[in-house]
Amino acid sequence: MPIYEQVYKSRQGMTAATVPAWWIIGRTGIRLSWKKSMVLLLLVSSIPLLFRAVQVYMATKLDVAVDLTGEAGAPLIDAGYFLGFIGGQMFLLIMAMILAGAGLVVNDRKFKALPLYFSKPLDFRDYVSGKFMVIYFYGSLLTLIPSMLLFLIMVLTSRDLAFLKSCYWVPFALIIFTSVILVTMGAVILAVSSAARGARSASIFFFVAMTIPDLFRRVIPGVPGIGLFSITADLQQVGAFVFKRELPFEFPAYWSAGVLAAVIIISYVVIRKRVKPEEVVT
Amino acid sequence: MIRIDNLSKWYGQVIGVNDLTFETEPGVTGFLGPNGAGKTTLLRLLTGQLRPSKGSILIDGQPVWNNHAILRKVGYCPELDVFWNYLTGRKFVTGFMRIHGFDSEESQGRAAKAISLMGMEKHQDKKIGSYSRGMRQRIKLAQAIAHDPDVLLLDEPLNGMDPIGRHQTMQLIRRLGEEGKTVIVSSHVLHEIEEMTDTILLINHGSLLAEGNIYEIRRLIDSHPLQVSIMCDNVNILTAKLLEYDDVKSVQFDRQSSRLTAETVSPDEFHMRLPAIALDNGIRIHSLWSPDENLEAVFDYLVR
Amino acid sequence: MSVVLKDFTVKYGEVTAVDHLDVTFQPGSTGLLGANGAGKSSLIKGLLGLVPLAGGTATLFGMDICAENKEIRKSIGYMPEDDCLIPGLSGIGMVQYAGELSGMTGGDAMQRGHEMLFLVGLGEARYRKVETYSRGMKQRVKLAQAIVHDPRLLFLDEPTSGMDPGGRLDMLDLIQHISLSEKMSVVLATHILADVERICKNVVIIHGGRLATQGGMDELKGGYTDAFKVRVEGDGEAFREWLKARGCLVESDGRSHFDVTLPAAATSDLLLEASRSTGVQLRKMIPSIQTLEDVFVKTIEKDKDADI
Repeated sequence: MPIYEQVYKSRQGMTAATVPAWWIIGRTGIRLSWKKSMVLLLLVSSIPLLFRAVQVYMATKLDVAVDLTGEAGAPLIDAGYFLGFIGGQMFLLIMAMILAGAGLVVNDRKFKALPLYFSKPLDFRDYVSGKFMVIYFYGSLLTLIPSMLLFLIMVLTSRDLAFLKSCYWVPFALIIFTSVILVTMGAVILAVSSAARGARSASIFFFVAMTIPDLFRRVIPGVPGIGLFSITADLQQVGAFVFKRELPFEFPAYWSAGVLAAVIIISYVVIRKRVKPEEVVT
Repeated sequence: MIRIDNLSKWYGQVIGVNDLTFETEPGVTGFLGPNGAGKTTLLRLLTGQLRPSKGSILIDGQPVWNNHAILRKVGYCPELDVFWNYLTGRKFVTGFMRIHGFDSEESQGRAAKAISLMGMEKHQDKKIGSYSRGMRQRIKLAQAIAHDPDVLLLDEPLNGMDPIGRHQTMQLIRRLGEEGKTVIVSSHVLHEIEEMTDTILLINHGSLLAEGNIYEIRRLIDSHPLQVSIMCDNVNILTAKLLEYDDVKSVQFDRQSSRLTAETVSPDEFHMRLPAIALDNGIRIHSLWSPDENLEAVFDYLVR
Repeated sequence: MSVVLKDFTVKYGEVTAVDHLDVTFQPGSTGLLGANGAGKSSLIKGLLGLVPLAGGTATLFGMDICAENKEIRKSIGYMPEDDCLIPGLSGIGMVQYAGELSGMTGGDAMQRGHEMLFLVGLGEARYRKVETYSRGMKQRVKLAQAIVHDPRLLFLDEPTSGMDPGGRLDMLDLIQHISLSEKMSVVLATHILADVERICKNVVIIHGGRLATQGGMDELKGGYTDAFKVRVEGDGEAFREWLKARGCLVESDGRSHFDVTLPAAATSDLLLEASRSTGVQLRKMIPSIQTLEDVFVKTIEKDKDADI
């Protein structure tokens, strides 16, 4: 009958984990961002979703009615409907980005957690991917997942295959478009969060960057090309292109794509510069 | 030099220091206490930054609160690392001398002297913002000693210094004490205090726990008989001889390392008697010390 | 042979922090000493890959630190100097997280996390948020997160800075306890020589980014001399005069402490004789051994341009 001492014991009989580091960082980040305010936001965002769900359901019924009269009008629900849904989520999405992302890097910097991270077997890519996973998770909850749900409801409640035939590509378009949105916004919020001094200033900065140029665009509409400077406008332009709709702005879509790419690259440079294990003091 | 009577300071319901009464003599006094014991509060009271809630502090017979004249006689090195980063070290010290009321020339002379005393000539024209932690400590100390005060209050002055810096600074502090200044120096590293002085001031929970010479304080701790360790030839013989006396409560000995540790309730008698016993019995003593007669043990016995 | 550095160089811009250093850290506990800016932290950070190497190589357990960086870090623990925390997590959350990031499964990391928190004395506080910890508790949780994955090599950067005497002793005991586990080597970088003296078997002193000296603690400190450190109680002056009259060299520091150098052929009996004859109590009598501080000061002062 042995006596076990309370001493430092070497680790025995433990298995090596197979989960990559970015997954662990992302998972923990998601758990930490699951706050009251975030839950509230998700609840609020479910109201338009419910409304749309009812709308979609009604439309399929209406579809039947249209068929009965023998008039082949334009279907109420088409690809543009989903583009519109995502466009409508934009404001809530910005708020979610702030709630989930503003503190992601800045708090690690404030509490000097970066040396702790980078003394573990992981690198810059793992860290940033993990943080991005947090943003992608909450972002998807507001865009990709509800829009896919709507699409599914539409397909399941339709009587015929006309909708599926004309809109089979919409899920792919949704994936591409939401990815563009989330990568852009994620890059910006992470960059802002790594450059700011606190989560609060990061939030304000992100909010201003997302809304003010768009406000200018709306207030002074005459200036050609002013929409290029608004990230949200550029996203709309790219969205319209992906969903094969009429472009809302006069400039070509690839200009907008170029602007977004530039934004992402600049953000990456900022993050790269600020997320370092060691502040170099000279 | 410093006389404190029934001094208390509270902030609302939080008590910082509680009914302290003591007097310090010229020389170095080590100021000890666990974190949150009230050390910084007491130092702030001593430098007139805080007003006592009760009781009085006299430096050189004069109250400290609201008395700028007396502060000329006090040098203070705060623990805080907040600085005028855009100033050079020289301007920082000179500026303080101007505040103390010296004219421009005198200020520069004093600053130069203090800076060279702290070994900072090489760096005096660099901005403080570029200093390392040890250099900041040195420039703070230079500022504290430059106006040649009679009373020096040093809060963790050795913190962040490297061994060379510590060594030099401890020598300086000892010298200041020998010159007749009243130096109160706090540190968490008990070896450092021991190196500088035998006189301590120990507070905990805002109250005074002990004050004076550590060996005398150790003597007053009756609950722990003094341990004396001896390395010698013929351990067993010496053990037997020591046990003949009543004040020796126990002796532990280890033949292999030829070492014994005795516990005595009467250290004076024990030490008076020991040389005779050893010499008369031809026992060669190689070394002799009291493992619990040091600051660490005293701190341990009193604080825990 | 646990850590071998060859021509190891770390630069920050123009400033060279570690300068073509060749040194080998033996297994067991090693104290890494040096003045401010000597390059202690840079050395550790370079080995961990936190700062890029400007030149040279290093191997840990035979693995190259650049080529097998991630693999190596699985077997390294690092306790940084600053108050580093992962915000938002509880004590156990942070230690578990650190374990998982080091390649443990969630369950293993949690189990061992609890063990480690009890070991460092945070058992009661392990469900509290780390931001609410006191300074001493932050140090402890930093240690726990550094050892949760049972590293083969543990780097400690100023582990006792800012702790009060009680906390310092606890921390040192803890480090000593861990370093006694056969599997783990410990490198302790600090300014406080007494800490190194207490727990380290080997010492590496660097200065200006270069190796100043290295060796075993006992070997560096050297042997006994014919000098004694003495403390008396009673009439110290009489004691001193008595010894001086018999050819001893006596230095006093103004207190009751003396450094006595005996004349040739005399033994410690002379000191006992002095005590008996003068009626002055001999309270302490230990042979002067070089302390680590002596070694350090001598080593560094050889270099006259010693920077602060």
